[in-house]
Amino acid sequence: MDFDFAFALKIVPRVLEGVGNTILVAVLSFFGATLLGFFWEMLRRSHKVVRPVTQFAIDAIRSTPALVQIYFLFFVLPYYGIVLPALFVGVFGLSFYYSGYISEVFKAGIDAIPAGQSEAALSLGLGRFDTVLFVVAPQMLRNIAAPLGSYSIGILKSTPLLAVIAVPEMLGSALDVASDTYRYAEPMFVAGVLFLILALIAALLVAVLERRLGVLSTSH
Amino acid sequence: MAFEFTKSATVVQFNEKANSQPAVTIEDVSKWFGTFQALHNVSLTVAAGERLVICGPSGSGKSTLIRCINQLEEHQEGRIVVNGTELRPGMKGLANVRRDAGMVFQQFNLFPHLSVLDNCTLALRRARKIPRDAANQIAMEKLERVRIAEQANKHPRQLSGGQQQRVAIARALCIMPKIMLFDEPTSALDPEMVKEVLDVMTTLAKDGMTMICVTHEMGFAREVADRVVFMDKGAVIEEAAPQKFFSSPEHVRTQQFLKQLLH
Ligand SMILES: Nc1ncnc2c1ncn2[C@@H]1O[C@H](COP(=O)(O)OP(=O)(O)O)[C@@H](O)[C@H]1O
Ligand SMILES: [Mg+2]
Repeated sequence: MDFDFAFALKIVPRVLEGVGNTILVAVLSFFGATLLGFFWEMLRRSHKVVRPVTQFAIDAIRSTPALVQIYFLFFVLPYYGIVLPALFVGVFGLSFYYSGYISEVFKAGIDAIPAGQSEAALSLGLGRFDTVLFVVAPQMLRNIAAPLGSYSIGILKSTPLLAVIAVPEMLGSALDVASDTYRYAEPMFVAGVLFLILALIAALLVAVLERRLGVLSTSH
Repeated sequence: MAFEFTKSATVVQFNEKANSQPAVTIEDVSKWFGTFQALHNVSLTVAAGERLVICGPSGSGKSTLIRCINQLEEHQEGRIVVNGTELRPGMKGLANVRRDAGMVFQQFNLFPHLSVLDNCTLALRRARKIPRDAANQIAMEKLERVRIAEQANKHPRQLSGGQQQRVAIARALCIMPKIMLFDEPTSALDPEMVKEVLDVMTTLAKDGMTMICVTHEMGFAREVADRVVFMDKGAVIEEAAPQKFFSSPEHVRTQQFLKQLLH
């Protein structure tokens, strides 16, 4: 079976049916993972008893396959009477999986700020809260922008995992076309190109954001 | 130096303030990092208007001592009283006490994401709740005092080391401190920039600011200090007027240290 370029073009609209959900899942998962990752990092910094427990949880999250976590949530939660829509489970699963990595991004971003910065703020009589809000956080934001940006693309590329729990998204649409037409090469090719375009758009947004943060602040 | 500095003026001022409380009282202070003892029963008194220079070999506890005075480090034993308020670990109102002591660090520690002006006004606006216009006015005054007002809208990275350190001094002055603490303010500077910072510090001294300076700039110590303190291995070894300290130090370790410094 030869690759049929005309056929590939023809099925673009059908594959695109899933693009809305792909973007929705990616964006929601990115925000979920970032919030949860920040929460882990705050927990890790909170108390010396909480720290090792949190570290263990983060390591566990990062060391289990995302697919296992998603299946687990989707098939195991209903046993306990928790029945959630597939989309919700999918977003939660991806958020959870990536939060482990993103907590490390926050950790590195905060660790990179010299201790002298908060010491200077405290010595000026600023309170702890103001020190974090006006001195630590803006510098952390600059440090995390780039790695967070690459995880946003990682999350986008992981959305097809949700095909296994039947969340309608772009890979699902492509698979539908394939099973209707018995042709796989073209739908997969189209899906791949569309993901590439989405990833490029995301990279562009990240670059713009980084530039803006770079204007606000650079070097120590 | 930029101007002539007469010791007699200092003495007059010193006497005027003789009856008021000391700016800083340190009594028998000991401090440990884990099991390592960094300060051994240190006692020092600094009168209002007095200029103290602390010197000593690297690792002798100079930074630790000066950082205890605004509780960036907590001491475990002894008493530290700043302008009549005793500092206790975890005390309430620590931020208020810290406002009495402006701190200048070896590495400047300017906020890289803020302009020079905002570096100076942040504490005024957030901690003292002074409106931006008024805060800017105060900051510009202080920046003029360290002769760098024309750089107010630049970011720290656009300035030389000497300029950054002068901004750091202005930033500390903005909180209207009663004491200024300097921790090796010229040690991270290229040699040609040391003078501009020392000149600013000398001006401050001339204006009557109470100062505690950790520094190895012996010319500055000779000219400005009322007293020089030598520390070694976490303890105060010797304490004397600069004249005596440099010409006839009593302790062998002080003699050795000064000899090394001259070579
Ligand atoms: N945060 C810390 N933890 C452990 N040891 C420290 C810490 N800060 C300083 N020290 C130790 O305390 C001693 C005194 O240090 P410091 O006050 O910085 O000396 P100086 O400023 O005179 O060079 C040194 O031996 C140093 O290694
Ligand atoms: Mg030091």
